[in-house]
Amino acid sequence: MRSKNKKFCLSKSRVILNQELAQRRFLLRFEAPEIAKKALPGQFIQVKVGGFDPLLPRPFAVSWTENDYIEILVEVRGKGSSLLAKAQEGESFNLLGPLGKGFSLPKGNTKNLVLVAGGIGLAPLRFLAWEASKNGYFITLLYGDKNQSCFLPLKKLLPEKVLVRSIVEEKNGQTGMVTDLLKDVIEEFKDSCFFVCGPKAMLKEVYGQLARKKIVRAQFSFEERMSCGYGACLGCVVLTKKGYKRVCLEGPVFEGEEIIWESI
Amino acid sequence: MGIDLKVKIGSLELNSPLILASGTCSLETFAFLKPEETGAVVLKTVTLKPRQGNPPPRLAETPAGLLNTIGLQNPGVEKFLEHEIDLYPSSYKLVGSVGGETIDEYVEVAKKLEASNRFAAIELNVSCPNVNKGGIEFGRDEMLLLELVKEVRGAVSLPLWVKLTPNTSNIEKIALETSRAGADALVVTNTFVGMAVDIETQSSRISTLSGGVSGPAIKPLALYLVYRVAKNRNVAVIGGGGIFNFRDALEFLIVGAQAFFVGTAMLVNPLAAKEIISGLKEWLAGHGFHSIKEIVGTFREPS
Ligand SMILES: Cc1cc2nc3c(=O)[nH]c(=O)nc-3n(C[C@H](O)[C@H](O)[C@H](O)COP(=O)(O)OP(=O)(O)OC[C@H]3O[C@@H](n4cnc5c(N)ncnc54)[C@H](O)[C@@H]3O)c2cc1C
Ligand SMILES: Cc1cc2nc3c(=O)[nH]c(=O)nc-3n(C[C@H](O)[C@H](O)[C@H](O)COP(=O)(O)O)c2cc1C
Ligand code: FES
Repeated sequence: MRSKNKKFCLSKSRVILNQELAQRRFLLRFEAPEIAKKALPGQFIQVKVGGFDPLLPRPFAVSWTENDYIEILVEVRGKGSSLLAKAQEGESFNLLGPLGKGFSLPKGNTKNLVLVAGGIGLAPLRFLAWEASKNGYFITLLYGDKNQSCFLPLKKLLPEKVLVRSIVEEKNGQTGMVTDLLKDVIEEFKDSCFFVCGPKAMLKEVYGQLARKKIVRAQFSFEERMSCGYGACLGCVVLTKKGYKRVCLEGPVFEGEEIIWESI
Repeated sequence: MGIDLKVKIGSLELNSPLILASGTCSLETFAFLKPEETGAVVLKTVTLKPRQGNPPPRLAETPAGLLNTIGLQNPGVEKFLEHEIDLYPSSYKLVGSVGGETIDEYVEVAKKLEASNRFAAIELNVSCPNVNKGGIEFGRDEMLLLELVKEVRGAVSLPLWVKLTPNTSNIEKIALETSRAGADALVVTNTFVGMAVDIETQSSRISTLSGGVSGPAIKPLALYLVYRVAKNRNVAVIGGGGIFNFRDALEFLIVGAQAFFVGTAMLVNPLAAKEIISGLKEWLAGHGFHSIKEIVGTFREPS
């Protein structure tokens, strides 16, 4: 029976490490052997913070795994993420995961990958970069962020081999968004496979640029308000050519071609 | 521990008083349940025609509460029976939840569900706050509701549960009339209509103006409704709204519910059902009870 096949599990997991990476951005490492064993790039976990307020668990992309450990990158936005950012090492949280459908690496001849990250959208792409570089892919990361102080320490987070081009919005000199970076370099990467994560407006703009260049191999990781994270509530939908799909179960990663972008 | 979990809802015997609420469980949920500890699983409401549901955002969190505007997304009864029902394990009692815009639609869907032979009971959702037509209108308009219950009662022979709306001022009367019209059990309560505003954009935090509130925030309100409906004692009551632990469940049983349902708690913690049952067993045993039935309706009125 399909339903008996536990693809994800619930575990009480200890925080092993909590490190401030940049302004309002933290790296948390949990001891979560079962999740670490199963997680694939693009999948996420639900972290239960607090009791009745915040009530719902919060979704975070799996950003790295090794042996018994998983890492997430947390940007402080509201109540849940700020409590998580204050987590003490040794403190335990209920984690549910790994959840959702992740990225799929291209088969065949395509060995060039372009990862496009807007801000904390780097989180799942980081995991992908590690997996892909182990498997002999060539990786270029385009990364844009709001300002210098929240800029993530890319050297520390990514495998050495990844080629990085980055940009910040607020700075004297060269400023812009990751979508401006993409515009400059898109011609070089027409035969590559794209992986994109960031705010919805950025996903939409990236899709538009790729579509104009007839680049169809592109996977997008979506964010949507969630409650359960495992497909039960139909709360987290995105409009696709086959109707509303659950971001937590049929996603969070979708092929660009599946999405009705006018609805975004 | 030798606690007898079995309860009877009309003529239907359930393995336990715990029922999974409509719209808050899916195939994935069953990995966290045990048939011998689960009374029934009410599946997501289905309608005659497919419904796309409301656009996102469909959810907003409020203090101790969840505001939703799913809008009864479902594939329609035919597709549901053709492609989905067979995926559900047969070791559980399943309840088919029916929604509609007209009485004829309710009747047709109920008949189709019964004909599939997969359901132990039919639940009429006359209380969804998130659709423009039908649903809650039936729940509020007594005459319409009575006619609906009578028609469905005449058309199917499965036990008939009616899920009432809390968004009314005369729930006692509605409950009484509904049971007279042939309902085997009343399910109290669906979500409360509510709203939430994003102060930055001065607009609704969900895609519609209002939605349904569930979770711990509604528990005292739901409990009082269950108390009022159960007081009549002429029909079985399945109570719920904000049940998150075994103590919450006990409160509903004590005020007279024969069984209780769990919804939002499962979204927060898929092990909630299991934990509630083990908590109940332990508490009852520790207090000298031998069965669930002994605690039902033991509420002492203030003098
Ligand atoms: C699949 C998935 C993966 C994610 N991965 C990461 C990650 O790796 N790192 C990270 O920092 N964040 C990630 N997020 C976003 C993260 O879940 C939200 O920032 C978090 O839930 C906010 O909780 P809060 O209590 O701090 O904020 P709240 O008080 O709930 O809200 C603060 C603000 O954030 C917005 N918000 C809340 N939840 C979401 C959401 N799910 N999607 C978009 N906006 C939201 C609200 O509208 C509000 O403006 C992910 C979201 C999803 C759906
Ligand atoms: C996301 C969501 C979807 C729901 N969908 C349905 C539905 O399709 N049919 C129905 O009768 N009730 C539906 N409900 C209501 C629940 O079944 C339940 O009555 C309500 O949430 C109160 O209980 P709770 O606080 O335990 O969740 C839904 C509730 C939620 C939170
Ligand atoms: S969050 Fe519940 S279905 Fe996706």
